[in-house]
Amino acid sequence: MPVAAPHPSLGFGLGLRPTHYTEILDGRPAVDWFEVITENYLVGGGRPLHFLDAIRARYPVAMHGVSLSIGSTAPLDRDYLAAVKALAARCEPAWISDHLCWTGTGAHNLHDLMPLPYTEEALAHVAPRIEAVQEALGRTLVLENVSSYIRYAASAMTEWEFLGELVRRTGCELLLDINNVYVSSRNHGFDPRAFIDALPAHAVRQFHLAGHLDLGSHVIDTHDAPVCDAVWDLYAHALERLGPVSTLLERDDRIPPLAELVIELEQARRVAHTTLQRAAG
Amino acid sequence: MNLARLQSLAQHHLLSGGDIPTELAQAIASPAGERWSIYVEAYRLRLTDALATQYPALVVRCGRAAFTELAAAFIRGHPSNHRSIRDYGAELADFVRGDHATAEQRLRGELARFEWLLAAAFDAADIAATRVEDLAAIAPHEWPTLCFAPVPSLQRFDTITNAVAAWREIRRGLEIDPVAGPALEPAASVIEPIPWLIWRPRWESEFRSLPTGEAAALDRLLAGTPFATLCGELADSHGEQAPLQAAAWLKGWLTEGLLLRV
Repeated sequence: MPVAAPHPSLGFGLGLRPTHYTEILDGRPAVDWFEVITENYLVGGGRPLHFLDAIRARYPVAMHGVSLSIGSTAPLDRDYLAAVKALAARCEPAWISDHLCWTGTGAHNLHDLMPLPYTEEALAHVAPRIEAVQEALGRTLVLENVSSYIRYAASAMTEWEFLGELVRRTGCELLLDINNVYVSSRNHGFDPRAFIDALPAHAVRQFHLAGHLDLGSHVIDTHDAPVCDAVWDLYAHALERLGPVSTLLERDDRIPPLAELVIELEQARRVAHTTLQRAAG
Repeated sequence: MNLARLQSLAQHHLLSGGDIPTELAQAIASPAGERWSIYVEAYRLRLTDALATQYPALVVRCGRAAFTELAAAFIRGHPSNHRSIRDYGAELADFVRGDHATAEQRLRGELARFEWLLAAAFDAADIAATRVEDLAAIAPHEWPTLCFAPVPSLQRFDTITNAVAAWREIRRGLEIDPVAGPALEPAASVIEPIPWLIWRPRWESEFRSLPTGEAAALDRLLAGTPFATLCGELADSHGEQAPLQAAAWLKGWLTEGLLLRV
């Protein structure tokens, strides 16, 4: 039996990509909302901010960052947080998300979403940082589960237990990337449905759907391909468990024409409609 | 091993490469070598892709394989300190040129610098430039101290090779045949440096060369010299025509949207 989603759903959205700017404004595609990569708009001006403003005038947006590095042992970047807050004041996003990961220590940025060990030490480190970010931004932070290829020997709990505990300690919310759950489940041999079933439903703000590269022995999260059947099935399961959560189709590389993504987004609508109707009946 | 030590070890290995340290391998429960190498490889690929995106003409000039080698060498010595990967690679122009530059290395260095400046102008801050008609509002007593600053997108630089011609040729060649690309003309040095401007009138970056006299005057103005002082300085080279010449240049710069009154 599905739960009623605790947050109003924005419906079905796409990641905003520069190659689609003019087509979005000219064509008014059947997309309910857009997710913007925060760092792409932390610039002085020009085309990026012009199109962000124009698209925001017509669609709801959410901000999705890649550089918060909430799990890093380096101090929080206060200048970055101030820039994020200023961008949020400009585009009034429905929420601000980033990833449960670390992206570098010291002054360096690896530009990758490095997984954390799931330990009490990491919880004790990350939870106050989430609270500090929430205070700095003046809003609840939404954190996404990342794909991972390694597990740490020190991990003393599952990823979903770790996420749930962060929610409990900080009141943060979750961006559940269904593809990432699938990728990590294949790489580490856990049941992806157990991951989803264990999450605190009230905290799940958004879903991500994406594609990956299946190498048989392991799976690489590429976000450069259509959603595969197994991830569609897992999406249906997430809908049954968590209700009509705002859904975002994310493509980061090999970006196809907008029309192609809109067609794939229609599939998400169909899966959601069918699943939720069946669950309600 | 605590979290700080784990992250320090992992980052050091990603940045420096080589064999995975025993301490790090022991911290990873999965088949460490195979799975960890995904992160090692992804780091190099991601930064190489970022450089190729930032320097598309340089990729063509070098050839894809040579560019990949160049990027690998650059990445080894230049970890990213930027929150946006789009800001990575500013030092590539100097790196390409090297200390003992051949004509081709000098051209590639200038090509890289040109592409970097184009990108910098692309998303520079939006500030309304001073317009020609704004001059009408300037009171006579203000003219002696009238100064200008560059709009945020404005970039001034000189070339000593045919790098900009090479850039044009590459762009044109790619438009005609994206697969085959252009035929590349040899690198050539010029006797006198060629001054260039890059700026962004609206959404796209533009550029043009400018005569050396105009470049020198603009450089003086951008360095904070009052316009009236500039007119006086030009008397040596332009005689009685100095104020007219200075006014003509100023009108042109304001029409192009290059300046802000300060």
